[in-house]
Order: sequence, then C-alpha cells, then structure tokens
Amino acid sequence: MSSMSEIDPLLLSAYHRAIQDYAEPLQAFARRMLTEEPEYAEDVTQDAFLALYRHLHQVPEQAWRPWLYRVTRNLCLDRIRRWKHRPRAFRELADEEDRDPVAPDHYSLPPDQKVEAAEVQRDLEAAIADLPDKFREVFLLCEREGMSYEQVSSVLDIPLKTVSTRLYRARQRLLKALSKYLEEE
Amino acid sequence: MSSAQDRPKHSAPSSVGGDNAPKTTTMDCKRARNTMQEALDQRLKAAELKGFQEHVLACQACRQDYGRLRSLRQWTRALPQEPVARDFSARLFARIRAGEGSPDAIFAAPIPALRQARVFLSGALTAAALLLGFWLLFDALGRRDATEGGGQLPEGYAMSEAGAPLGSSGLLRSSPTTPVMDPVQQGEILLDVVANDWQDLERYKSVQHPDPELLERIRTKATKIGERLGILQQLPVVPADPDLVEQLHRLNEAVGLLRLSPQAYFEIQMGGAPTREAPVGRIIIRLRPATDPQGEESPRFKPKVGLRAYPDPAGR
Repeated sequence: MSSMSEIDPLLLSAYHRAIQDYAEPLQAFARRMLTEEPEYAEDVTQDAFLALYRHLHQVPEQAWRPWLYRVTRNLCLDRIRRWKHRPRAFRELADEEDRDPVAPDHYSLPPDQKVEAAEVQRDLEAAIADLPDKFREVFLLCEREGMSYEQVSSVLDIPLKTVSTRLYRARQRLLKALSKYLEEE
Repeated sequence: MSSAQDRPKHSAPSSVGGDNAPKTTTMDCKRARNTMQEALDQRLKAAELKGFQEHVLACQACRQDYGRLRSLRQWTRALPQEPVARDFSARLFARIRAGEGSPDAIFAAPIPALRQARVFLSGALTAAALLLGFWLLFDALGRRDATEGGGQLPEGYAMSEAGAPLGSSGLLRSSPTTPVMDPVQQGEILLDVVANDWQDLERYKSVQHPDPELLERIRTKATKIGERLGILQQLPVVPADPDLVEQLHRLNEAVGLLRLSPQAYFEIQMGGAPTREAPVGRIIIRLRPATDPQGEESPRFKPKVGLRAYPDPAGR
C-alpha cells in the first residue's frame, strides 16, 4: 500500500481534483441509491474514494469517474442487500426513528409556482426512490449524471441494449408517477 | 405519455392534423414513439433525426410526449445536490493515513460468468504453481534423502519455517520413493482464495529448500501469480485480461509439469460460487496416489473450466 509520500505528486493532485469534482455528484448518486438509508451516502462516497486511493496506480486517470461510480454503486448495493437482510423488527424500529414527523401528505403548500416546483421535486425524488434498483441506477447515471449509454454500460457491466431498455422503463414509470404535473403542461 | 389508442394515427407519408398547416411526414407515430428516447439521448443518425423532427413538428401528440420526456430530464437535472461536508477531504485523508483498506464490499456485486472463469483460472494458476512448488520441493528433498540412504523423510520435514504443517493433512510427509500417500494421508488442500489467505500461502512458499536457485524460481513465480491474483481480488472492475490465453498456457504448463511426476496424481477442482466471504470462489486441490491401495490405476485427470490436460507421459 503506497503512503502519500510515495505517490507521484501529480497523481495526488489529480486525486484531490477528483474529490472536488466528483464527491458531490457521487454522494448525491449514493443518496438516491440508498433509499432506505440515505444517511450512509457520505460513508459510501468516502469508501469509494478510499478504494480509488488504494488503486491509484492501477486505474488510469481518465477512467476514475466511471470507476468511482461503479464502486459507489457496488457499495450501495451491498448496503441495500444488508438492509434487506436485517430482521424485520430492526427495520421497522429504524423506520420509526427515521420517519418525518410531518408526513409529506400533510404538507400544506400555497399554490404558487415555487412551491409547485418543490412539489415536483419531492414527488420526483419519491418516484425515483420507488424504482427498482436496476432501473434507478441506469436512470440516475444517464439522466442525472449525463453519462452516455456506453459509459453506463461500462459502469454497470451490462449490454447497451439493456441500458436502453432499462432507461426506457424507468422513464415510463416516472412519467406515469408524475402524470399530474405533465398533463398540465 | 399518451397511449397509442387516444391519438390520431399518422402513417407515412400522410397528411397530419394537429397544427394548422397539415404536413406530410416520413415517420409514423409508432416509429416516432420508438425512436423518441434515442432522439432525446442524441443517438439517432442524421437521417432518422430529420424524419423524427419533421414528424414531431407535424404531430401534436408526439410533440407532447417528447415534451414530457424533456420535462422529466429537466426536472431530474434540477434536483438539488447537497454539498459534501466541509471536512470530507480531511476525514478521507485521515482514514488514508490511518492505513484503512479498501472496503470489502466493492466485490459485492455479482461477478459475471466470464469474469468468474477468469478469476477461477487465476486462482487455479496460483494453486497449480503452489502445487508445483510443493512437488519440486518434495521431489528434490526426496532425492537428497535417497542419496543419503534414508528411505523416509525426516520427521517434521514438511513443516514451514513457522512450524505450521503444510496442507490440511500433512500430505508432504510421505516419501516420493514409496507409494506416495496412503488413503489416510492423501490430502486435500482447501484454499479459499481470499486476500487474507494469501498470507498463509506466503508461508507455504517459505519452506526450506535445498536448491536455492529452484526455490527462488518458485518464489518468483508464485509471487508474480500472487500479485496478479491480488490485483484481481482488489479491483472491483476486473480489467479486460489480454493475457488470458497466456494464463491458460501457464496453468497448463504448471499442471503439465505436475502430471510428469510418476509418483502422484493431482486433481484440481474449481467450484463454488463466489461469495462475499470468498469473492473469487474456492479452489480445492486433491492429491491422490498414482495407484490406489488395490494397485488400480487412478482415473485420468479431467480438468474443468475448459483446461486442456497435457498428454500423460505414463500413458494413463
């Protein structure tokens, strides 16, 4: 394992830049993947950067971004798996603790545009969270992160056609979930 | 998106309604719907894109559908992104300085079959090389032993420097000049090839050997294979392995060398799906005597995962 002094300063500098450039979107990606435990998004992001540091000499710099997304996605899936395998009692207890004291349905929002935008955001976040993991990850990488099909295919290790199909299905579900806003357009 | 039933059908070429000026388009609604996503994601070829644009300009229903997709994209891209904590970098580098390793979970995703095979092959190569090392050591010490007039290996001969027995059943204790091992001694090395176990393998490599040059060769080879295996284990993305063929060749070579030995029969089995605990699977190496206690020949070595066995010089 290389100590910091052994690493090429240019590489280390690039690593710092990567933190600046990618930490925020990665954390947002992790938060949306971890629908049950979004509070772990930062830990997962840190773990991804830690893994990258350990592999600085093995991962070409131009591949860092997809590599980070892939690691983050794997870490998220691991957390999701662990969450799903927790005993039901613990899950319900955690749900109770985390529950928003004011349920979203009870928000009383004045009908101005700003609030509507917030409403759309809230419903969109909820609809994204409701997507199956495999659709959600493709949708977030394509739509949110602006990755090409080829990049998503590489990050998730799935064929291009699968990227396209999953993206299509994710969009259809989201459009359905947000139809009340879209009909008004 | 509106359904196909509740919209006017625009066949190609057709005069379409919707907007005030009817236009003729080269794409119908069905086709337009099918290409809508690709158009949004800029994956259409110029000619197709032109046809799509013409259709969408002419067809209000499709234009609305396309508008919905665009709205979804705009909303998604406008979703808020909370900033990382101010001490994110500081805490990260504190963890790095503290020597924290990569999280195990980077291996948690299911490993595709081809990748599994690659990793199995790498593991098998390591195992074969280790076996080769064992055997060369075994053979050389046996010859020395025979030269010195001793028919049996000295007690404790097959112990590592650390004093730990090799293998799970002391299989290296048997002499190569006598039937290699009886059914009780016949051994099985069970290697769960995970990062931690590599430490144990390192210990195997440190066995005292009378031929320093040979030992060095074994060590170098095992280290190289170990490094490769280590990289494969650590990387969440197993890189495309251009030297897979070479790995296969080397594995065959190693297995072939083992097969040249008249005393023992080696069988390498690779099995078990990768798990979180053993992300590259499990490799079982069984050593059998060349002849069983009844003097019958052992069955032929039947390698798995598409490996070719070298011709058996003994004709077995």
